[in-house]
Amino acid sequence: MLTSNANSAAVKAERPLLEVQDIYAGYDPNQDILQGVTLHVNEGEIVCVIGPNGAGKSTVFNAIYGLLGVRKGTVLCNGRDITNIRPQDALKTAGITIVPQLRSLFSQMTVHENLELGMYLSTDKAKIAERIQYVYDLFPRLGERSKQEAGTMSGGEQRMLEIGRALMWEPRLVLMDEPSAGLAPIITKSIFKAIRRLNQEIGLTVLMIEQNARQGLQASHRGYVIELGRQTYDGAASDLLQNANVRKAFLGGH
Amino acid sequence: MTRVLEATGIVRRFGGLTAVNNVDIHVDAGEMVGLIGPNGSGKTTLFDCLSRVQTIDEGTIVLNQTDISRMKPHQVAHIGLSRTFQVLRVYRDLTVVENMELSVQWGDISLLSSFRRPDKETTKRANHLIDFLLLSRLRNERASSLSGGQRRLLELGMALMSEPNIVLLDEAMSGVNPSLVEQIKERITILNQEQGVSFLLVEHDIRFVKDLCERVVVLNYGEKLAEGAPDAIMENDAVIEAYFGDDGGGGEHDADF
Repeated sequence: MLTSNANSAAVKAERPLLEVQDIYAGYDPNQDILQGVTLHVNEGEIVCVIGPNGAGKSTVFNAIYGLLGVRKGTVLCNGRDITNIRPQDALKTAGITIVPQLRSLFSQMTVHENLELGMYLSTDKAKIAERIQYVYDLFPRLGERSKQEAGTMSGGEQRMLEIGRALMWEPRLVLMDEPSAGLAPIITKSIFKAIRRLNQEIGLTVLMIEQNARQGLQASHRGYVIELGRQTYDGAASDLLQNANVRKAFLGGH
Repeated sequence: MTRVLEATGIVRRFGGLTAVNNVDIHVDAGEMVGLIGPNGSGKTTLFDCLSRVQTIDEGTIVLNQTDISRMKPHQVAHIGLSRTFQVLRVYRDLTVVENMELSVQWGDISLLSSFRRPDKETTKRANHLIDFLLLSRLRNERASSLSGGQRRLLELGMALMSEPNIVLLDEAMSGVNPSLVEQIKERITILNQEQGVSFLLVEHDIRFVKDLCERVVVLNYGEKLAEGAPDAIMENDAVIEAYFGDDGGGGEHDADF
């Protein structure tokens, strides 16, 4: 768990960067998967949404990012209503980007080309080159491998490239859907370490979903527990980690 | 009590990864056993080993007093074991009753069998099971028009066509709406109580199996972490911690990005 310190970006006292207010959403017309989820993310924070399989974690992301219609409730970004934003507008107009759970790289394109695609909204070559260098400075490993086909790198390196690509357009908020998915436990640990480092070095604001509740919370400032489409607990990550009822929720307890 | 299935010291490796490590598991006649564990704990791999879909590197499996450790899946079906799959395997363009009829031809690989019409006994059993599973209304519908839960029931029906005395169900209740979950549970209970069919149920979520099973086996990292009554398992600290997630192990081999 993290505590705010001098290195992390100052947490502003004003409105949160992202506010999700009592949203309802679902795939089947007659069934709401989300039944009133409320959460917020302050600028400079890492916030983790945890919950057992099938609780609705990914659905929360889909609803925020406009991939799934919100039936009731609102999503605000920087105080502005972005409920049911079109996914293709999320980055350009709200500064929100997403790192999906499933591998999203173009595996037969190079590291460099994949990063260029993170700037597909721009034709400014100098700016693109500058941003790529910025990502290489953050992740020297990617710089060493700039000409390598993305699909030939290790799982952990590919995840770093996905995160690096998400940073290309200077997003204000990065949604990360299970950064640990499909990675060996030891690699998972490094990924969370890198996310923490980005938060401290460049003040990156992150909202993530994690299936591995323990590691997800250890990397975060605050967390929300979602069960059956509703949040059941929220608070400082350190408190959630100590809460026996939260732990039991994952086995289907109570 | 008669042992229907007894697996001892099962090991399954994929290169350097040991997916199932020295696991013992058994099911007695008329028993319903749950097999649970966190994501990636080896549940489905163990299931594949027991139903002979995957080879085992070590260990023995005895089914109805016959050593099946080296047998093929269709041979196992003839000695009384059927299974379903987590990813549904029904023929989408065939009707419910056609899927049922076809399922008993599994393992019969002669060319002629593809042309043969199902015999009267097969059709009769298929229709009987369709009624039992409350799918009568959908008998002549294509499988593609069924909901996820209805397809789970169809798969259960297909597994029952070979008249098994033990059925292995792989996540039969995940992704199914709550009312159909109850229907599936009820049908399983009737099969168990009235016909003495044994079940081994794989689920991620213990809530699906705790009402059905008197005994639950918990896997973690391919090893048996705990075994016991559902209520005791739900209070078991090691199981609670495993479901909450690992901490990534020691720091020595950290890779930096």
